[in-house]
Amino acid sequence: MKPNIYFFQWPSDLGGADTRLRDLIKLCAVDYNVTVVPNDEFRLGEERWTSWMESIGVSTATMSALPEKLDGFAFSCCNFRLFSEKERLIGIKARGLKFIWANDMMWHTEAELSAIRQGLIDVVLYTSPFHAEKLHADVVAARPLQPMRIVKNYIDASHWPMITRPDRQPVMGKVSRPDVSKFSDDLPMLWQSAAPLWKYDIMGWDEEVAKKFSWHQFDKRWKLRAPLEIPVSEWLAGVDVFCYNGSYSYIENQSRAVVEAQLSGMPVVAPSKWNFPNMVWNQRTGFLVDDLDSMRSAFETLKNPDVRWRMGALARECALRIWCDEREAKKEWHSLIAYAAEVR
Amino acid sequence: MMSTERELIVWSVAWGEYSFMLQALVSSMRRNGFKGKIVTFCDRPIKDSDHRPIDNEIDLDRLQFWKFEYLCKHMAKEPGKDLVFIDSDHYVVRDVSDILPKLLGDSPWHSFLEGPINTSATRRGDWWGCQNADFIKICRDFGLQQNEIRNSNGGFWAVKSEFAETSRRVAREFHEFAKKRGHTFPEEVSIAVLSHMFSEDHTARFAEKWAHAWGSEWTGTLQDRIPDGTSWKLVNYMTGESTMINPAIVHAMRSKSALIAQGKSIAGEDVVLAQPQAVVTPSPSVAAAMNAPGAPKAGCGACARKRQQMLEAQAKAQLEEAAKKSPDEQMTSPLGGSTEVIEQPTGQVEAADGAKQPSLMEKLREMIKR
Repeated sequence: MKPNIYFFQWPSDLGGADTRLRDLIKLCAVDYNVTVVPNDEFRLGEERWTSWMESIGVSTATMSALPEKLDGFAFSCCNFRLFSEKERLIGIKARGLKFIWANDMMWHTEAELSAIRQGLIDVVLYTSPFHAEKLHADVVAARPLQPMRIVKNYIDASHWPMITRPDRQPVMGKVSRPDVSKFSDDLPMLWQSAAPLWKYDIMGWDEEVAKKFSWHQFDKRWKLRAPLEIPVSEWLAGVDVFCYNGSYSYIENQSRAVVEAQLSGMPVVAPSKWNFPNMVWNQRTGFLVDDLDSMRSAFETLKNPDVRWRMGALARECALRIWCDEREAKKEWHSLIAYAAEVR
Repeated sequence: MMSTERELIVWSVAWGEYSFMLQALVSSMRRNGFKGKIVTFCDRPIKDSDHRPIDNEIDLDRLQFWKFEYLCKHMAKEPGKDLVFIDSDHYVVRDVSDILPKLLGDSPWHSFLEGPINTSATRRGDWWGCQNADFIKICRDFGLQQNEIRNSNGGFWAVKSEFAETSRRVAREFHEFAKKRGHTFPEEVSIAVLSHMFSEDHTARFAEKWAHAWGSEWTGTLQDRIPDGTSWKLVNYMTGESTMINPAIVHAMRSKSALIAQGKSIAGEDVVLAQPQAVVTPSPSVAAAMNAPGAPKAGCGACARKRQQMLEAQAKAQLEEAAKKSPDEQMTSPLGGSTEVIEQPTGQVEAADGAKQPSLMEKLREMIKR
């Protein structure tokens, strides 16, 4: 009999945690009885997701419709409403589920730490040693013997085929959820300074982000798109180099957008800090940059379409091996579930 | 970037004796041909300017972030303005009508970037008491990408009105960011950060490229004299290198008593010469001085003066250091502190280029005659 996993979250095509869930649902659908429980009932009316889940044998339910006693495991990543609306977490525990929690961000909330302190989380999950190094000290301070595991992000490569890009005036860009902390204050000046002859394409531009940059007059080099204005795969086809950018206040953990770009055969330029050295092979699959001069030098090199193609092809190959190995990912998940089962 | 016609407005804030310096500044601008709008916030009327009262609701904090509050509350309510802030201890010796509109270029923010903090030419070990390596780390972690990082002066900057709120927010954020790392900086450090972050080419703001336009006389070359349009020796704050310059706008921070006297004469008040600028606070580290007991309370006119005294103490120390060396030896390590009072020069004094300069009294008499 297959073990039961209840995902307390809803999938999406936007944002690291929700796209991670999308791929996890598919990964687990074969070996587990999967039920997806959204925060809000209206989600069950989203045909695009309910029919997809039905097609792969995954059930959906509201929290209130779940039986009072359950056997199995609960999982959620970044759904902080489980803590701020405490009846949700209490509901999970009262039903007898082992709760595995993945905070994919680089900070904790007080409500989350309080739940850890009270022993309401059976296993805390990190996506990388870097992630654990940044977050686990606070967890241990809250609950010294808190069980934890590191399982790396799994990405379903079937969404991200290799793209052959034409020789054109090169385009650098980034795709992101619309969050002002995902954009550095100096972004327009920085990009124009680093690569003045390039074009720039950003998807994830909402009213708040636009307001942040209302002081700048974006010229015709810039394309600023609403979140998911076009499918991400289409956006990737129109861009030649992914350039990571974020505010000083936001520490990136494991950017899925970077991996998706790599899978599409695109070199990545990212800061040589945080977890990026584990994601970008400097000067082979892209560039890790420390300052404006190294950024300028990277884009100067990447002007050459042959270099972009060569780096992009290797980026895909590396990404496939590191993040998209389905068999390895399943093994890691089985191991995680076995570990959680033994946690008392 | 901004292709439409923009209105340029010069503005300043002063109170107490600084209001007379502001009068001297405004009159010097007008006398040299500047016909544009000058807005002054002051506790007494300033001739030839659009005078407005001091806003008592704005906290005149000793770190001088009140400048950003005035900017946002009073100056940047409408788009399409290029706003040039000038502290009252400046003086204009030539027409600035052609210079001021060029400051911003395509950027939303400008201040002159003076001396490098992280190059082989750097001689001074700290800025505002923060060791250079620590300062660079703070800047990098805040997101500054430019290779060469420089200090700036908080007394002269320009901003597009559309950028005012962002400049205030980023300035405050940097301040808080550095504070968490144990450094409490005044507004001018944030101002330097803005000039790096918000320039497509921050080297365009390097002060040496604007030597015809602006210079900060902080070592006492013009001690208690009004700048008169002749060349003077500029000592770079971070490298100690000296050059002769003759900028149109002089940050005459060592000429306060002369500026006050001139302002009073213009305002029609009795000219009672101020005491020579006394340096009463040793300042081995400005941060330490800022936190010292007896540091001025927010909201009083003494705040700016206190800060000025701290800067002057540093200048004095550097001068003393330089004086210990042979005249031909270049000043390379401006460090240390002193409590001595700098004496006011009397009679004719010799300018850096050797020419005899008129004394303060002679100069004032000349100006009153005009």
